[in-house]
Amino acid sequence: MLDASRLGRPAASRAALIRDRALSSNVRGLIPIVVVAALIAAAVAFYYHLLFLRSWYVGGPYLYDTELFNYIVGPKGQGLRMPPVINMPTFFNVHVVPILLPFSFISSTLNLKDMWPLEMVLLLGFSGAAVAAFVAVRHFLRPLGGFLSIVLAALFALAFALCGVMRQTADYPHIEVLYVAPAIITLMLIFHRNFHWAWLSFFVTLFCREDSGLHLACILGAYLVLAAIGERKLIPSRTRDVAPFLVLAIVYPVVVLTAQKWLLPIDSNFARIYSGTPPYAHLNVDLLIERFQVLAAHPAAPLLLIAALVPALIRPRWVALTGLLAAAPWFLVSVTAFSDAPGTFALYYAFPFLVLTIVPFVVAAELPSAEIVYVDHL
Amino acid sequence: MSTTSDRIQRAAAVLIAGAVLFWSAVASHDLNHLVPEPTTPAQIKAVHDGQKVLRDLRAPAVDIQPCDAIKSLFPDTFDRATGNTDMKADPDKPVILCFRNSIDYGDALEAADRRRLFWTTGLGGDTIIAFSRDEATFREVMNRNGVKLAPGDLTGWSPGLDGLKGANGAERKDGVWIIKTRIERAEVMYGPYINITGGRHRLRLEFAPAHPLDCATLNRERTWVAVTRDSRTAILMEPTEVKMQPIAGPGCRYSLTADFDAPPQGAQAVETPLAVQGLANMKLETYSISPIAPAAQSAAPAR
Repeated sequence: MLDASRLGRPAASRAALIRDRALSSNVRGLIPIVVVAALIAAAVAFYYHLLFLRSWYVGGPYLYDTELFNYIVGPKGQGLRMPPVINMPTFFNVHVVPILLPFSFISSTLNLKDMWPLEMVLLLGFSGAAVAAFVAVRHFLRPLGGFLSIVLAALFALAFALCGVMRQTADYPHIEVLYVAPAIITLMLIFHRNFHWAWLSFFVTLFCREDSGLHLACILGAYLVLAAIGERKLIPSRTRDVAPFLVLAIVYPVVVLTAQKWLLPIDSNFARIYSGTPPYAHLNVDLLIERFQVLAAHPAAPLLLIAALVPALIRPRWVALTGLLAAAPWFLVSVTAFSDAPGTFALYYAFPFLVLTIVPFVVAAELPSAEIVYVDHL
Repeated sequence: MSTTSDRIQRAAAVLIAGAVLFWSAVASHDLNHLVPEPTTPAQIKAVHDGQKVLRDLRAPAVDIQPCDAIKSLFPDTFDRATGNTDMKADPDKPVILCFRNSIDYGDALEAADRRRLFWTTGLGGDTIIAFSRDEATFREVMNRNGVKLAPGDLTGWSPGLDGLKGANGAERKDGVWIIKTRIERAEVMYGPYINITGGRHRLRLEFAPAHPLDCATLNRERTWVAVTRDSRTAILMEPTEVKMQPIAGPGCRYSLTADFDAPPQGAQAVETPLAVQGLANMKLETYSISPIAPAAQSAAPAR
């Protein structure tokens, strides 16, 4: 262990010099990553800007939720107020999305017009998702060296940004895409043990929708289960890192949904869209067969899960299955839903799967070769 | 230290997963959608102002301007056809507003707050809204004219998938302007220009949904209404017979046959854009339209 007090001044100076050079080297190493990330963000933003123009001018925001969101986030909806014609005081009656408040403030301050309030939100969501995927996959690939890891990660991020589910979300512009980037970053920071920033990112993720925490909880819970199997221990080694986030990821949605039910009463979204009334009376074999036929014909969402399976097939270890296992609850809730849209993962309803595609790279990135838990017995 | 095997595994995992995503991207992207298709001068101007790169916009396949079309049908129906919310009509008389471009919908919602919004729908990119201060009268008149309003339909805004359903056509009765329609989601499937004269015609087309949601709902309770419209004269043709059925084979494809009684157009055939209302987000694959002789009508009803 180096101790500066035991070193002479020249030695301390050399240590400082070495630190400075290391820092300088790290900064230089970051430059190409930052540049490529910026290029990816710009390219994705430009592409989705074109799609959004089409949605706005051709699809028609009256038809979808576009104009509703634009109103809420725009200058007229200060504080996420609903349009007067809708008999609800705020958008929080429908979804608790505090992350939209700063966007609302910016729109009001800049007096943004036309489609720009919502487009600001969406472009950040799409570009942020692509950049987060790039950073996560680049980190996973870092043993390959700088240039190759950046190129491969950039190609992956572009494919991710243009995949079918992203495109569906753009065709029916919705705010759920905001959840993707902070969720990926949160998981990266947790597994990097950078907890201060992880907590910050974690709360940003929770603020993206009231049920965001439950999607994160599925991921963290699935990871702990698979890590326990892989390590053959009841309490796996990363439990202390993950458990606090897992607990709060469950507690926050429960508290928020309870508060919403009492303070901002509306008809239950879950009953209206998922369970139906009476609960699951709509469910039958024919319905499920039809929905799986639709998924087979339009496999954007299933392809995300296949992509999430690939790392586990190539680097066979239990935790690499985290994305797939975490998908199970949302898949079951959706495919049995009353409404056809979630039942076929149409529109934006597959948004949690976007994060699950990146999860295997995040959880596997921190496994050095010596600590890899191979599943020879699989 | 990472081993060579570890590095190869990592690269392979990213490449293959990326290839799956790329497949998903290619399968779900219609490159034509990269370029927006503005349908009105105001939209084109907005796009041009916003994006210099879009200066070479390709001409839209169909230029339908519902506000103009409906306005020509009912010239005294509208307070404003441009989204201006300074309404001067008799506040106690139900009116229909047609807002050019959906961009004005936010203003429409504000206007609705002042005059009570009861019904909203869209046609080809524009927003059409019916207002009244007297809900009981409005409901009675709408019901009398064939627009079935379920309890609760008038209590709020029912956007998108849950849009209100009505009958077909548009007319004015009992002092209330009513646009009766079955529009539920996206309103029209655009096709090419066709030549049509007056008299009975049979339209046959094959289409495939562009979206899984439509594939799912196609098998359900959709009602199919085929309409052709001329952007200048606003011809609305209601089919007398409509038959829609799935086409055997892979995917989710359907055929629709509909007979129309087209209004007299004079001796000359009129070139009119084909727009089939009620087919949301559908991709037209083939179509044919041909006049039906009176004898053929009775011999081969399209049932």
